[in-house]
Parts: sequence; C-alpha cells; structure tokens
Amino acid sequence: MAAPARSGPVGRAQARPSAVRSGHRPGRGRRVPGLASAGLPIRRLGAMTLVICVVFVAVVARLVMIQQVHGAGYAAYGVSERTRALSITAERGSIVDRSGNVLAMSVALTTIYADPHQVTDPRLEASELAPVLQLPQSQLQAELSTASGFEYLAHAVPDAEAAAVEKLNLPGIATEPESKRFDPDGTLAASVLGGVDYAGVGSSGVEYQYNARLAGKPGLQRLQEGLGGQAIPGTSQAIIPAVPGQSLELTLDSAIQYETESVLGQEIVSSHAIGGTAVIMQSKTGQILAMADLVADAKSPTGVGPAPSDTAVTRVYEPGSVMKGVTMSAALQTGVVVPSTRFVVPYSVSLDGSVIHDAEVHPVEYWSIPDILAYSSNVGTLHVSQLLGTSRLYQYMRAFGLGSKTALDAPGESQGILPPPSNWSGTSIGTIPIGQGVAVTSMQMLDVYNTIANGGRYVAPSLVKGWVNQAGVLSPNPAPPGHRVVTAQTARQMTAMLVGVVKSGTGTEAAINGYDVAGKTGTAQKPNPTSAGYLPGQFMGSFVGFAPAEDPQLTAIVVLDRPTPVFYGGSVAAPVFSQIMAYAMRSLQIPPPAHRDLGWDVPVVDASAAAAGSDNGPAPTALPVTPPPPSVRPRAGSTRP
Amino acid sequence: MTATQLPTRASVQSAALAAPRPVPRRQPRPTPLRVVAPGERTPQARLRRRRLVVFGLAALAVIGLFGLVAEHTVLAQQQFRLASLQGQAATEQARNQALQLQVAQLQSPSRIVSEARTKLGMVPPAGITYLVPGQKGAKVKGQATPTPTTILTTPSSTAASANSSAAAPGPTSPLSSPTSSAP
Repeated sequence: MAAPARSGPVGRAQARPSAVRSGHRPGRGRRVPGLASAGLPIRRLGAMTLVICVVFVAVVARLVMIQQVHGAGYAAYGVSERTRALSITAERGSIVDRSGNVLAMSVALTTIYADPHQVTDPRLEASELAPVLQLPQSQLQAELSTASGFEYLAHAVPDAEAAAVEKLNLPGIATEPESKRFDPDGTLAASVLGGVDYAGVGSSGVEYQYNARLAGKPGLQRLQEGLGGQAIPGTSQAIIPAVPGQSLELTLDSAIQYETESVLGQEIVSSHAIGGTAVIMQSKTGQILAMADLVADAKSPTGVGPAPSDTAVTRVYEPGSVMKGVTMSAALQTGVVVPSTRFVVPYSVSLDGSVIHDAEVHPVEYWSIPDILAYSSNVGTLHVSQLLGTSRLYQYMRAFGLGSKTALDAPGESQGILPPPSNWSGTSIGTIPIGQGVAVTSMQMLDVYNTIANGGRYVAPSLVKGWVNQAGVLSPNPAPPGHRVVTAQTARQMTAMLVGVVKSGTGTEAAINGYDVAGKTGTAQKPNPTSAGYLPGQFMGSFVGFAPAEDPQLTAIVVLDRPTPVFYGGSVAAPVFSQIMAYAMRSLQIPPPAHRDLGWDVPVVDASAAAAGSDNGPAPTALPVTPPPPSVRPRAGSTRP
Repeated sequence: MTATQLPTRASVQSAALAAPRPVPRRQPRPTPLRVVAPGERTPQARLRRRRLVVFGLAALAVIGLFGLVAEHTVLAQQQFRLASLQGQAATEQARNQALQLQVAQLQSPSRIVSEARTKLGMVPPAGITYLVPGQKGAKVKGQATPTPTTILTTPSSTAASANSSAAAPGPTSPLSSPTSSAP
C-alpha cells in the first residue's frame, strides 16, 4: 500500500513492512533496528571524541597562554590597580625652653574625610555624623553630595570622636592621621614662637625660621587596597622611612618670660599705650631669657595680647636719648673727652638754622660728662658730638651694631635706618647723637648697652640654645663670635655714669633695692609716616640698662609705644625694668654683689648724693660744682631725655 | 504410520531438552607449582600493597595541599593580627602624646599662677630679704665682734597683685624688716 512518506525512522521502518512485521526470520531472533548501518554510532562516538579533544586542547592552550605567557603581566596589572602610595607624615619637633618646659608640640590626631562617590545616602550619613562630629547636618550633607572623590569633613578631631566615627562604619567615610600643633602655655612667647599654617608648615616666628629642621622629612609607603578602600594587611611597604623633626631648645626661661609679659602688660594697660616690648638677656653669653612683644587688646581679659610679629626685632623706632650711650662711649673711647671734662651748657643753642634745646628750661650750667648723661642734656651732647665728628660717630655707631641685622636673623627683622654720613644734613650732628633722625630696633639698642655691660665687647644675641634629637641628646648651637668695640676702661667709665643716671638722674624709678643698676632713659617722638616732622603728642618711652653694675649679669630693655598722658621713659618704662629685673635676678639667684670702691675716676653726679654716702667715690674738690636746681627735671618739651 | 521424520531444529532441541546428555567434565588444569622467592608476596598481598601505596601517596598529596592552604591561612591571620597590633601601637603613641600635652598644659606658668591664687589663696611675697655679711668689704684683723651685717629688703614684683582679688598683702616673713641701709 502506498503509505505517505514520513521522515524519520518510523517512516523508514514502515517502508519495509515485511521485514519488521513478520519477526519470523528463521533462527535470528528479534532484529535490532538499524543494524544494516552498523558503523554510524561508532563513527559518531569517534567524531564526538575528536571534537571534545579539540576543545580540550583549545582550553588548555588558552590556560597556558593566560597563566604562563601573560600571567605575570596580568598579575602586575592587578597589583598596579590595587596599589596606592601614601606619604608617611613626619612628626614635627617640639619647641622647649631652657629648662625643658614645652612651649609648642604636635599631637597625632585623626582627620575625617569622605569619598563622595562611594557615599550611598548623603542625607542619612550626614544625619549620623552630625552629632558625632558636632557639625551642622546641612553642611555635612552638602559636602557628601559634591561631585568629587575626596572631601575633608573634619580636621584633627580628638580620639574619642574618631573612634565613634569608625564605629559607625559608614560607606565612603574614612580616617587618616594628622597631627595638630598645640601651645600648652597659651600665649606665652607667642610672638617669638610664631605658628603653623593649616598644612602644619611654620608660617611665622621661630616655627617659620627653623621649619626645615623642625618638620623632618615625610616618608613614602606603598600598600594594596581591596574593595571599599580597605588595606590588605601584609602588603604595606615603607619605601622611604619618615625622618622625624628635631626638637628645638630655646634660651627663654618660662618663668621670667611669664613675669615679663605680666608686668609689661599691666604697664601697657595703665599707661594706655598701644603696645610694648621687653627683652632680658644674659650679659655675658647673649642668651635671651625673655622676649615679650605685646599689643593692647581690648577683647583680651588682661587687656593685652601677643603682637603679630616679634616687635623686638621687626619694629623700628627713633630711640631718643638712649643713643647718648653710644655718643658718650665713642667720645670717651676716642679720647676727645674724659669723664671730668666740663662744658658750658645753656638751655638752647642754634645749629645750622635750627634750635637744639634741652627738655627742661634751665640756666646756663657747667656740666661734666656724667651730668650731661644724668640729666640727658641735648645741648651738652651736641658739644661732645661736635668734638667727636661725623665720621667717628658713624664708625662707632656701626661698630655697636646699628644699621645691621643682629645675629638672630629672625623673620622680618629690620636692620634699622642709619643714614651714611654723606646723607647727613647740617643738623644731623645735633639730632642723630640724641637718637632722632635714626631708627633702630629694640634688640639693637639692647645690644649696645650689653656691649657696655660686657666690658666693651659686643656679644651676639641668641635665641636658640641647641637642637634635641630623638634620643634626647642636646647638640648646643655654637655661639657666634663677638668683637671688641670699646676698651674695658671706657666701659667701666660708662657704667659708672649710667649708675649715676639711675641713682640721681632721670632713671631713678629703675632702681632695685640692694643692687646697683646702670641704665639710660629715652623718650622720643614718633615720626610722621606720611610727611616730614613728628606726630604731635606721640612718644616712645624706653629704658635700657643692666645689673648688677659691679659685675653685670643681666641686660634688659623696656619700650612702651605711645604711652599717655605720662610718656617719659623714666616714668613708664623704668618701673617695668625694675620689677622684671628684680624678679629675674631673684629667680636666677644672682645675689647683690659685695659693694666695693671701684676707684672709678668719675666725679660724683651731685654733692648731695656724695654727702649721703654713695659708693661712687668722694665728692670732687678740683672744680667748683654748681648743684643743679631741683626744678631741672624732664618735663614737657620737644626733644626728650 | 510412524514414518522416520527428518530431524528439524526444533525436534533436536526438544529431544535434547527431553533427555539431557551429560556433558563431559573437564579436568581441572593442575596449578603449576614453583619455588617461592623469599620476600615475595602473594598476588593478593601485592595488590593490597599497591593499593596501599597509591592510597598513601594520595593521602600525602592531600595533606600537602591542606598544609599549603593552612599555611596561607595562618599567614593571613598573622598579618591581620600584625596590622591590628600596629594600629594599637599607633593609638597608644597618640595617647602618650596627648598625655604629654596635658602635662605641659598643667605646667604652664599662667595656670600655676591662677591656681595658686584662686584655689590655694597664695599671694606674692611682700619683700625679699637679703643678708649680706661683711658690708663694704671691711678687713677686720683679730676683731672679736662679728663683721657688720646688712639687711636689705627688695620689694617683690607685684605682677600678680594687680590682677588678684586679694588686696591685702599676705603675711610677711618675720625676717623682712622695712629698714634698709643705704648701699
């Protein structure tokens, strides 16, 4: 029958109906269908095996390619993707005083930062961080939503806050160490120490000047990170180790510094000054024990605050009568006068069309050099300086260190303004020796009188005692060399005269009971910054001196900027000098030396002091002395003693 | 009529089934004998030994791999521990620094002065007395009486007094007398 042709074995089976249906082939049993094409399964099996083998070989070949041939390259690529280079921060050195008390130190705190790309929910995370960091939630949310990969959230937070943030374990928030600079003594010596900026780099004062040695060198560390920024432990290598900064030991004495700032601050407030400076120095070594730079600050509870810079070296001013110490030293040294030389000193004298006059109206006097110095006579000084001459005066001013920077080399230090003789006018011989028409820093004037205290030898000032390394070993700074300016005899004569200034001259308020104090007052008008001439009613009152006079140990200067209404150096600066020097000598246990007759060939300043038994020697009998009338005391006038 | 039929397959098969013929038994082949060498094992033993060796090697390989894995695990564990200890060390160092800062703050002169004044009620001394033996360097030969002594009183700094609330000076030392001889 014609069955419709169907594909497949069914159709084929039906195509041979007789063979299938009968099943009665003799002696052969049931027939396996498809036995006629007996090789096909074996062929298929073989073909499959071949295919499998080929695929297997291909896979193995690929494996070998990846693992053996390119394996190292892929592994390196992976490492490079994971590796991050971090800088290891170097610990900044501390600054300590001469006794080891810490003035400035760094503490390792933690900084919280965020990777806004990885922050999943800024609002939620901000709400969780706000109470911990004590920052407004809106600010945190804004920072977490910015389109950047790095945002600082909080700098240098205390450890408790950092631990709380880490416990929150928020995605995209991480911490890194950052150190913060602290001044444990508050504002003590703040003007001298200076500060650091946000990056921890010194920006002013000592921190700036010695930043290279204080900062150390940061190191480099490489480590691998996993997903989420976690560091893979065991993969961190320090390529370059961090070098910690060295600690700096200053010559300052914290106790004397505190006392100086305290007394100076009170004087600034009570004399309504706008600022002041006080420096105490060891006479023999030039090491600075205290350097106080204060400005009046109405917002501060004490009424004063630290000056923005170290005004002892940065502020220049016209020194006024303290310059007479230089003039007289030069005159004695060159021999143009001796201490017993006398001059006829009227109240005023004309010079090159101008008038030079003394502070006080007085009749014509016949004064010796100690008298001129004690009463700070400008006319008398003019006589001396005319004998001395312009070039010698200028030479000695330079020898004393005026017109050049001190060895401190502090940031912003000024060298002062000392015009060369070629620029001097006809009246300069009258004004410059009395300290007007020339500008100096407090430190320079201190160095002048320290030279006298040191027997005529200039000693360079220093603020740095040495450097302390990690092991705590101090390597002292070598002292810079000094030079001789005047002979010891000249210095002795000057010292005796300066003792007279304090005993019965303009500086009586600087006296310290039990000690002989040598010093000089100065009251100078402040020049007009915009036009020629001076600002009316604005003065700088100063006092500079040393003690004990027989064997000077400490030299100090006190300068008050614009004290009012009382402005004389002898009235505002000298009392401060007395108090801080008394404290310093007591603190350093400098006893009053045994009084001795030094045999100075200096006549006593006035007969009344001789009668009271002063140890300046017997009253002179060689020349008649006109005792000065008691009314000759510095009062209002334009050029001040 | 019983005609002799030609034997057909079916007939032969049925006849065999009806009267089964005994099949001649085969003689078992004698097992060949030989002298056994000393230390030679039976096939069963050899097989067992072979199996044992294979098993042993496999076990060794497994143990070796396990050891490798264990070593890596322990390494990772110790690295984590090291990182945690390093973190602890850094924390303690930071804490040490913070304590040093605290010490420095406690030692600051302004704090000491304010504590002394407010909490302990201290005031600066009214005057300091110096005893200076042998004033004026007088050389006394064979003198029975002692050399004159000078008592000097130096007024102390009144730095704190202006700020202090206590206006009255504190008790002065019994030695400090207001008299001072002219130096």
